[in-house]
Amino acid sequence: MNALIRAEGLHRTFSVNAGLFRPRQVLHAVNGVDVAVERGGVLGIVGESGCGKSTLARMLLGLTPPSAGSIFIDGRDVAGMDRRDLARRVQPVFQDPYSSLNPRRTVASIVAFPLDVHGVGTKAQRRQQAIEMLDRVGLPARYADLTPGQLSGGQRQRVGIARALVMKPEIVVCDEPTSALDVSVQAQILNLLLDLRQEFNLTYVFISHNLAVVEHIATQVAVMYLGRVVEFADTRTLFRAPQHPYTQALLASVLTPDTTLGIPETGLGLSFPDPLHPPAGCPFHPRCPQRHAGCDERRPELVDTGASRVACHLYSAATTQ
Amino acid sequence: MAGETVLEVQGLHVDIPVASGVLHPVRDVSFQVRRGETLCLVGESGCGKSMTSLALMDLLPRAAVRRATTLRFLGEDLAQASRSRINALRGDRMAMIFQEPMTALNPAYTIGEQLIEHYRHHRGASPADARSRAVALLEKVGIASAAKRLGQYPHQLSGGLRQRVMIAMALMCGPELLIADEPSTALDVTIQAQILRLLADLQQELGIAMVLITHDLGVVARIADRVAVMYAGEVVEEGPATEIFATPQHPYTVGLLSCIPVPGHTPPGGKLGTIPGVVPSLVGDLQGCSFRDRCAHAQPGCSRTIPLRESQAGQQWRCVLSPEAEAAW
Amino acid sequence: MSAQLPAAVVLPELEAVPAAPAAWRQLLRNKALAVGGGMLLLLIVLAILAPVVAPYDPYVQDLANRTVPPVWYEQGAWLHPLGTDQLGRDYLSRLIYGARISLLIGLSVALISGLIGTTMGMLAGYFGGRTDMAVSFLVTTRLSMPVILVALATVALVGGSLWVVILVLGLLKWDRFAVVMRSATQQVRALEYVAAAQAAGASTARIVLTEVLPNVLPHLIVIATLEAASAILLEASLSFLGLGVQPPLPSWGLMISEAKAYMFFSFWLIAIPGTALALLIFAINLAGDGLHQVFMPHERS
Repeated sequence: MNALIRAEGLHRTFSVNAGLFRPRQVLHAVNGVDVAVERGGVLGIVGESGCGKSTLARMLLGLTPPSAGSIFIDGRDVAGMDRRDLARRVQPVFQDPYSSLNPRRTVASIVAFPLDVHGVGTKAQRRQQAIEMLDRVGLPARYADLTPGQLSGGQRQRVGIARALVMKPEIVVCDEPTSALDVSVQAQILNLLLDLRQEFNLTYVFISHNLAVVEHIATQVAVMYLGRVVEFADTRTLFRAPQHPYTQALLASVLTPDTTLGIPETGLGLSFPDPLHPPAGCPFHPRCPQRHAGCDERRPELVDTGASRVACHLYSAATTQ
Repeated sequence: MAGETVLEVQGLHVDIPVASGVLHPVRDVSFQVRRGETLCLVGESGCGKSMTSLALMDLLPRAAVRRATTLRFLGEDLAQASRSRINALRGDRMAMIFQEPMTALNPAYTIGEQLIEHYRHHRGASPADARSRAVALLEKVGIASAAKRLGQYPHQLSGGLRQRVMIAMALMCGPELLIADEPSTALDVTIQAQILRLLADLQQELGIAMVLITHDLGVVARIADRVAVMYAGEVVEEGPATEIFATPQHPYTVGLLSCIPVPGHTPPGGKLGTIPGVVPSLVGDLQGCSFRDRCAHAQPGCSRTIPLRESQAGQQWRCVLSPEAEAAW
Repeated sequence: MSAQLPAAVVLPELEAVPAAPAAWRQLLRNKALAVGGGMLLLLIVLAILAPVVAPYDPYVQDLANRTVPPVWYEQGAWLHPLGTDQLGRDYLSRLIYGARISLLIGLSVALISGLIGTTMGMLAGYFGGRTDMAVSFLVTTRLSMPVILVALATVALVGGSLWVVILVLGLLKWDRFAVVMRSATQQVRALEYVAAAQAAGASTARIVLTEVLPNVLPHLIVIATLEAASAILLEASLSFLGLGVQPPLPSWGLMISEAKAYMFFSFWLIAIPGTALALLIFAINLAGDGLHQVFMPHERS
C-alpha cells in the first residue's frame, strides 16, 4: 500500500492528578499504535470512551506531540516539518459546531483565517477564496458576513469544513464531525464530505463512535481499545467477519432499525475499562467472553490473519506455530 | 402483554412566553401507554419530546403553562391534582430517569443515602428495610457487591453503573410508570445495549408501563411496542412499532428513516436521504402542517387544518395526502 | 486533550437567527448600564469641563467667608450653592475638581493593574504548567499582603502624592485581574476554535491576540470597572489617613478628612464629599453589573 499518512509505534502519556495525597499517575492514552491510509482512502477509527482515538487525532494534526513513535506524511517525518508546512497538508474538522468557530469573527473571516496565517494573496483575494469555498460547501455568499451565533449547527459544521479545505490540504482529520448533529443534518454533512472527497481528491481519517456511519463512509477501519489498535481491516471485511471479540461485541451492539430483532446480548459483563489502570496482558481480557489461560499474562501483538490484522491471543497462537 | 391503560394523554399543550411572543414547544400531543408496554417518543432535537416528559411529571420551568384535555394516570386526573398529591405520586408511582447520569445523581451523597432517603420519604420505612431493599434492587439491576456499593459516591462509578443506580432509584418505590429520557444516549455503545436490555427485562418482569424518549431510531425499533414520531411540537405519526417501520406514512417519518445509514443495506459511499430545510420557529400563531416547508409533496391544502388519517393496523398520522396518493410514491 | 462533547448532546437545527441589534443599542437597553453609565458619563463630563463649570477656583481661600452653609440652610446663599469649607474655599468647585482626581485615580489604576494582571493571567491560562505555577505563586504572595498596610508603608517612606498613590495601587491591585483572566483564558483555550487555529499553523502570539483576547474581553471589562471603584475608595481611605493625596488638592477623601473636626457643627462639610463618593462608587458598580449582564447573560441565575 502506498501510504499517504502513516503512524508507527505512536505513544502518548499524560501525567494525571490521582488525588490529594497520591502521587501523580501516568495515563497511557495511546499505547503503541500503527495505522496507515492510502491516498484517497478513508480510514475510520472507532472505539468507545477512553480508547485514545481523540488523542490519536490530535497527534496526527500535530497539535499534540507523541511521547514516542513517528508520523510520516508521504514518507516525510512530521517531526521535522515546519508547523505551517504540516498545516498545509493536514487539517481538522471538529465535533462541536458551537465551539469550533470563533464567535467574534464573521464566517468569511473564519474561513480565510488559514490563508491569513500563510499570507496567501491580498486581503481581497483571500476573502474571495473564502467565499468560493463557502459556496462549494453549500453556503451562499450572503452567509459570508454573518457570525456563528446566527447559524444552525449544520451550517456551522459546513463553515468548519470550508475552513479545513480552503488551504487545499491532502488529509482531513474528522473527529466525530456529525455526532452533535441531528440525524437529518448528519446525512447532509456525510453526503457533503463524500462529494468533497471526490472533488478535491482528499484522504480522510474519520473518527467516530457511530459504527453505522463509519461503515458508510470508511474504506478501512481500525478498532481501538484502551490506547491500542485491536483490529484493522477493510470495511467490508471487518463488518462481515469481525475477528477480535471486542469488535464482535461492538458490532453486535449496533442497533439497526429492524423491528424483528430485539436488544442484542453483548456478553461483555459489567466491568469497565479504566485507562489509568489497564489490565495486565491483553487489555480486553476482563470483559472478553472468549478469554482463556494466558490472556492475562502477555500482551497480544497485531498479527496478519489474511484479510485483517488482529491483536488477540486467539489468533497469535496460530501464527507462532 | 398489554394490560390496563396506565397513562392517558389527550391534547397536551405547553406554552412558554418569550421575548418575541409565545413559544409552543408542545402542541396537541396525545398518546396512551398500557401496563407492560413501551411507548417511544422519537424525534430530532427541538421536537418537544423532552418537554412532553417534563410536562407529564410537572417539572416544567416556572414560566411554562401546561394544559391538556385529558391527563390521567391510572384513572386519576393529574391536571386537577393538588401539589401534595403530585409530589406523592412523583418518584413513587411515576418515576423518571434522566439522560446525564453524572448530573442526575447528587455528588455530595453516597448512593446508599440517595436510594434510602428516597424510599423512606415515600413509604416511611425503617432504615433497615430501606437498606435491604436498596441492596436487592442494586443486585437486580446487575451491580455486583451491592452492599459495598451503598457506601460509594457517584464519582466513583462509571457512567454505565451510574445509570444502573438511577434505574434502581427509580424502581425503589415500585412505580407503575417509568419515563426514561434518553437513558442510554450518553453511554458507550456496548454499555447502551446492556442498559436497554436491563430496562426491557425489568419492564417485562415488573409489568411497568414505559415511555422512552430518544432520537435514535435504532433504539426505537428494538425496544418499542408503540412509537410516536414528533416534529415541531406535534405528534405527526403514531402506531405499533412494526407498522411504523414497515410502512411509514408521514413524509417526515419516511425522510427520517431514509437518512440513517444501515450497515448491510445502505450502499457504502452512496448518497444518504436528506430532509432539506430547517425546523420552523415555534413562536406565535402556527397554522397547518409544520413540515410543509420541507416536504416534497407540499400543497396549498397543507397550510389549513390537516386531517388525521388512520390505517387498519392502528397506525395514525396527520397529512393531507391520502394513503392512495402516498402509495403512489 | 480537546474538549469532547458527549455523544448525547444533539443541537437543534434552527433557522438562521436574524442579525442581533447593534452592540451599542443592546448596551442601552440594559437598565443598570443605562443608569450607572449615565451617571458616570455625567460625572466625567463635569470633571473634564471643570474649569468651565466650576464657579470658583478651588484653591482660592476667603477667610472672611469660612464654613458658610449650603443654599438649603437658612444662612446659605446662592453665591456658594454648596457652601464653603473651613478655609473659605467654594465647596461646589472643590467637589467638581475633586471628581477629576477620583476619576483619574480610577482610570489609571485600572489601566496599570489591568495591564499587569491580564498579561500574567493570560500567560498562565494559556500555557499552563510551570508558567501557571509561577503566576499562581505570585498571586498567592500578593494576596497574602494587606494592600492598605503596604500602601501606607510605601507612602510613609516615599511621601504621599497623587502619582505615588496611583503607582502604588496600580502595582498592587492586579490580583483579581490575574485570577479572572487566567480562568477565562483556560476556558477559551480548551475550545476547538483555538485548536483549529493551531492546526492552521498560526503562531502562539497570533492565537492569543486574535482568537483568545477578543473572547475574554468581556471579563476584562467587568473586572476593570470593579477595580476602578475599589481603587477610588482606597485612595479616599489613604487620603483620609493623610497618606494619600496632599492638601490643598481637592481629593474627596481629603475633604472628608479635613471635615472630620467640624462633623457635629457643619455636617455638610463631611456629608457632601461622602455622598459624592458613594454615588460615584454606586454608579461604577451599577454600570459594571450592567456590563456583566449584557456580555455574559448565561451566567445570570
